[in-house]
Amino acid sequence: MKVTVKYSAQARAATGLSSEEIELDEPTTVHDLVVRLSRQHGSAFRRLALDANGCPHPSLLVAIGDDQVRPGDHRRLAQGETVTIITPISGG
Amino acid sequence: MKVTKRLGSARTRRPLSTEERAIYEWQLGVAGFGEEGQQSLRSSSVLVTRVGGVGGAAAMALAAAGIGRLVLAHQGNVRTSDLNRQTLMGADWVGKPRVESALRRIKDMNPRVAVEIHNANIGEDNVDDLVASADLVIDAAPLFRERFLLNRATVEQGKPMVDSAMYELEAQLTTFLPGTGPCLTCLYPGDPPGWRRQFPVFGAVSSMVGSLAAMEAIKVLCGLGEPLLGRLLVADLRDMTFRVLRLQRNLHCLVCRDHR
Repeated sequence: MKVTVKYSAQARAATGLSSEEIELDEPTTVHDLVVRLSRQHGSAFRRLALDANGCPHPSLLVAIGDDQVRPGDHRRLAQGETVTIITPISGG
Repeated sequence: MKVTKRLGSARTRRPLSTEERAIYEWQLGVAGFGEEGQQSLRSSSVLVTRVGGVGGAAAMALAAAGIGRLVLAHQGNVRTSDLNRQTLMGADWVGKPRVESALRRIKDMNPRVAVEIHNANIGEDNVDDLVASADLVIDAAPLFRERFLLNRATVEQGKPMVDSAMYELEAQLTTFLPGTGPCLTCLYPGDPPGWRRQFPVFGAVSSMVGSLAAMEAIKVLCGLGEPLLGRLLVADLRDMTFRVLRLQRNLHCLVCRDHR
């Protein structure tokens, strides 16, 4: 099963990617995916994505399609879905 | 979701003058706005904090549209490094207070607008009074500490807040109206990790999102169109992609759960 992950703001800078396709061999939740991507993309992304307990940071903005979900959401992802990961940004 | 109540319409209305009709002629023909909308705008006030790249563009667009009163809060003096994006500042004003430069430029463009300036950023000591002084808030602050304070005060006072943000070639915009959807703390329950005060951005990005924030404010104040309530505009100018995400309320939000 494949899902597309899109990265926005600092998440894009930390991964060096605007998007990628991820192959999932087993049922995977949003929570699982964020943890997996944090292992895959190294410390810069991990610092943005995970809290001190190694769980998805609650201030990460995540969407499946055009619907926001909690970063620790335990709904299983489906074939072909697009997950967008956005780190918070501000004015200036 | 539409805002059906014209927030700026509660005060005494008087007909537009001949001069006002001439100045605002191009927008008076906008469907759903008209003379009544212009009167609502003239009787409305907006707090803009800060007035850098995003807030400055928002304040200028509101002034051009004929907002009645602007409250501008931004501490400090103009720096050379502001000039790539802060369009209310000038090279001749480097080293002098930003809010004075903003006042000067806005008054030069539309002297009918009342402008109140505060050489201060949002803090615990001034947030309640500043939010109380306006009908709507445009949050263009770079620090999450300021943004969370504005969010708490607007939720407690039942005031709408247009929240604008940018990074590199990306921009985000949403509008919070207490009781109708999520608040800022629903989205971001705590300080985001890794956020830095200074970040890369073009002035064209800040001007764009500032202008969009002004349009959102006008829509909310005048009951025009459908503001981004419960929705987040995510714009990526690298490939000119504009998306609107549907946002969730956090039922356990420490700020807004008791204000519904």
